[in-house]
Amino acid sequence: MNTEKTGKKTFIFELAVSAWIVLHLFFWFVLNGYPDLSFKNQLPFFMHSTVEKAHDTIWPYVWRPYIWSENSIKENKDEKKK
Amino acid sequence: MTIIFYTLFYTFSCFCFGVLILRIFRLQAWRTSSAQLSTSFLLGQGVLSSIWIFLGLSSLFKVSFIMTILVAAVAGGIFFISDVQNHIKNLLQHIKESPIAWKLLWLLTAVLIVLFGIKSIAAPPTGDAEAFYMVLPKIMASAERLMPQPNYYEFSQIGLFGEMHYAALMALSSQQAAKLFSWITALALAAILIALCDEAGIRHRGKIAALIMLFSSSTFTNYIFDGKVDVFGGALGLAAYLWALKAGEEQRPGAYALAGLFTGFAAISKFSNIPVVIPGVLLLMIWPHGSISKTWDQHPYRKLMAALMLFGFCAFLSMLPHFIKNYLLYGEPFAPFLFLKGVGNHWTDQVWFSPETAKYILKTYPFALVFGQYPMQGGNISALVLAFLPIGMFLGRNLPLPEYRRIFRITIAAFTGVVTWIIVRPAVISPRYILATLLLFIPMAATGIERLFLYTSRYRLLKGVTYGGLLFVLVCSIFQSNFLIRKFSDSLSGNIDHWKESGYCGMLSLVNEKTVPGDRVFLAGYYAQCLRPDLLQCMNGNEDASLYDMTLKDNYWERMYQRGFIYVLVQKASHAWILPYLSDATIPDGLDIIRIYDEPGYILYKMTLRNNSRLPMYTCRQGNTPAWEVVKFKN
Repeated sequence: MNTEKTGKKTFIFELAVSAWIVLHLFFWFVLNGYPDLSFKNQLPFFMHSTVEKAHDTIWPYVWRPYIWSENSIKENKDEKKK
Repeated sequence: MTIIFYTLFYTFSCFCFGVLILRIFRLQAWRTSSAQLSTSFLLGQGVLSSIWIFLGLSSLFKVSFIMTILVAAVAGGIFFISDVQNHIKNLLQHIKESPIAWKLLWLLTAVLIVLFGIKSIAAPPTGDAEAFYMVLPKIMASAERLMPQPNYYEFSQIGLFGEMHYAALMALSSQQAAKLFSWITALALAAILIALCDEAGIRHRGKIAALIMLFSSSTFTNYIFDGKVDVFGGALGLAAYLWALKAGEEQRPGAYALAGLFTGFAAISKFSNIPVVIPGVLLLMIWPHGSISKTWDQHPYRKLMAALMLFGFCAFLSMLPHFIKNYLLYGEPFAPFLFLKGVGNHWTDQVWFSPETAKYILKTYPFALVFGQYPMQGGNISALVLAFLPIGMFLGRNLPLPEYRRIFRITIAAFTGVVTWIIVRPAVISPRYILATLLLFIPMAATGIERLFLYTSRYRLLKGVTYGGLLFVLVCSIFQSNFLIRKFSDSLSGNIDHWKESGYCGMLSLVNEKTVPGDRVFLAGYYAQCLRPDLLQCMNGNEDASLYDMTLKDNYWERMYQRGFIYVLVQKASHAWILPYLSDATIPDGLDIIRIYDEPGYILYKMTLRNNSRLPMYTCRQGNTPAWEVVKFKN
């Protein structure tokens, strides 16, 4: 029984950490690996669309405007309100 | 091929110099070959950069003096480097003992590293390197003296380390030799990382994983070939951590001295190392003293204080050339942090994002460091580090106690550095600013991989995913760079092609063609790297700052002419705001303003006097030295 429990715990640990690693690899590929890949035009179309959709989904969570850009966006909004 | 020759000779000189200093001061007792090679090289680099500063301040930065010192370094140190062959044999032995699957990873990593070396020669300086980091060295190499860069007068207060090596290599050879040296420094950084892995008991699988994590960190690799100096700061910071770890454990005066020297060099080479590296270094040196060594006498804390004073003295010694440089050039030895003579420009107090954005970024740590794409962030630490850290934290518990202690302390030192950075600069997210600290997480992740593959029958799924992840990242990284090889031979033979020039070089080359030596060019822009050295020395500087005062626009062209400027170049991407003032300003009698080029990226004006009776107040002139200076026109 103990061996079984240990085996299950080990498997759950393996599964969890493997999923963690695969998730990191996916995000890395979408944000850093794919954009400059020299053979990306040779990849199947469904990969392009999947990666690009994933990129558009992730982008708002990893980018914000620089403070000067943000200030000018705010100033434009204030001017429009006036 | 002369590029490679001069760079290798310079590298060898740094190494020999370091070996000589270590031998003179009896700072030896190595455990590993990577520690010896990298320590010798980086120590030699540090001392040479200090010598170049003094030569530059004395206006003696001549090729003959540089070569004499380099040859003396080789002559002095060459007899003590008989172990180099053994070190290389040890490395190859490591690889030979690896299973075939891991030999493949070694091979692909070697290919990736060589591609970065090619890129360091073939790719032009870009970004900030075009604005400052390769411009100041170019001026220094040509003028044979160290002076503030005219259009970056206050910024030239920074610690100059990598820039000094660039200047020496530009004087001896070319800009590509300087950039290739940055790649060699990157290799030294990799060697220091391997030395840290050795301290943690990591063997070949963990080491190759550490190298893959390093060379897939864009916050490191982006700066191998772009002409900036961040790699130097990273290498010296890691060396400081390594020797602080050794000092804490071995408690030898030599280790404290080396920790101090490298801490000082790290602080000078990159100011952002000051708040992040120093706390971690102190932690690593003091922590082991919680358990009092049996070899100490009855006053262990007095010995600790003495050791820390030695550390502090050596750190001060390595920073002294920087203080002297700022004192002689600005009258302010502690600029830009502390001004003794009045109010100064604290340009290091930067805020990049609004409070709301800064809070968001802080909430997303550490993912922001790994996946963030924020403006000016300049790359990420490898996703593999964060991916493999849980393995390290879980399986690292099974390490033998000494190795476990070391890896735990290294990781806590890294964590301390990151927390310190968040406290002092919460609105600045830039992994390259804290590169050494972030790379310090790699040994923990590498430990996990080393331990994982010791289990022959367990964790099969995890082992497959881990190996697959390493291979996947390596292959993608290689295929981002594989198109450089055909440009490599052109770069080596000195043929100018677009790979050696950035987008700004086109306009600057036209300025070079139109001007004669000593002409003054007013650059409304940042990027000046491709201008001729005399034009760089004569361009607008601190004394011409009033020309950015647009309240006097009616008099603008007259004031420009009186300052001796003949050309005005406006880089529209950054300085288009000045154009309305230029076009609205009154043109004085007798002066013609001709628009020579008006392109999408820039405008070039030329001022000519219809008769020569009215001379400007200032001109640019070369005296008895190769340096050009702006002087008052003598009637």
